[in-house]
Amino acid sequence: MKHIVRKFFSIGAFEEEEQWLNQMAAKGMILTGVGFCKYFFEEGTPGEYVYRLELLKNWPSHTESIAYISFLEDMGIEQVGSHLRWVYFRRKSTEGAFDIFSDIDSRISHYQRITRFSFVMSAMMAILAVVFFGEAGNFIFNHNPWIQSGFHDSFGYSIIFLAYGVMFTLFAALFPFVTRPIRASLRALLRERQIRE
Amino acid sequence: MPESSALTEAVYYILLSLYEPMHGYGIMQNVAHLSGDRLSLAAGTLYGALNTLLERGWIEALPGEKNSRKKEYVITAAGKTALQNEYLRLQELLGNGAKIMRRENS
Repeated sequence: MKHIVRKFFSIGAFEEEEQWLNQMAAKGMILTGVGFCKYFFEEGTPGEYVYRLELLKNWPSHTESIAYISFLEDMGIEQVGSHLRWVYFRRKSTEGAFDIFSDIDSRISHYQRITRFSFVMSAMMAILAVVFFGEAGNFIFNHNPWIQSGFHDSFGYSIIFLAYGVMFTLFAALFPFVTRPIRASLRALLRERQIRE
Repeated sequence: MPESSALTEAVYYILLSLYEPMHGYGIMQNVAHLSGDRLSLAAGTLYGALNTLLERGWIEALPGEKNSRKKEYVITAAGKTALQNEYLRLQELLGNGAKIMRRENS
């Protein structure tokens, strides 16, 4: 039996997502694929797999990612699916505890990859917001000849641009907001690294 | 990084393992064996360490058979030097630890 579950996890909640997938696996709901906010499960042996998520350095189709994923395959780790640069891995629980990273440095660099990704997304949203606000401002304050066709038109456009500007501002603010737990974990690890490896 | 700085535990054991040519899975098993199952190297951490060591020239990939995806690695002369420096550094740490802690205990 196949099941599709729709659920949303933010970029800052990938550990909760992992936990949820592992709880599902413990109940015998085995993840077999992912989409945007979509999870495909099949019924299987409870507790057969452990799942882990990783944000790769490159897109999954990049040569470096392919080399990395085939290295993991040699270690008995299977790629179940991917979404953007996120990859969903699993390994048989008979192989023991499954983690992708085993020391502080590599965990730090994974968290940093996530905060950087989130920063880039946020910056892109901020640029879009500025562009739309600028356009809205143009319609309101500059009476350019090419928009002199009528006050109502330009007013309508400026409202739409303004709305887009507000939307992208919210998106830009959302990324730093949802990644707070990641930054907290990162700070804790950086402190820990001052005294141990 | 200055030569005097410490190697990570993972790098120390990876370099030790590669006195014999080994592929990734072999290194993981060997490190677990050497450390009496205390240290289990995760695959992502191992991959990152191997790439850094390759870039630094402390290990090299053996030209394997074409069909084999599993690359084998082996330590280089530079890698052996790094390991020997680390060995001396650890000896100093152990020696000083023994001197001071023994005095305390006796």
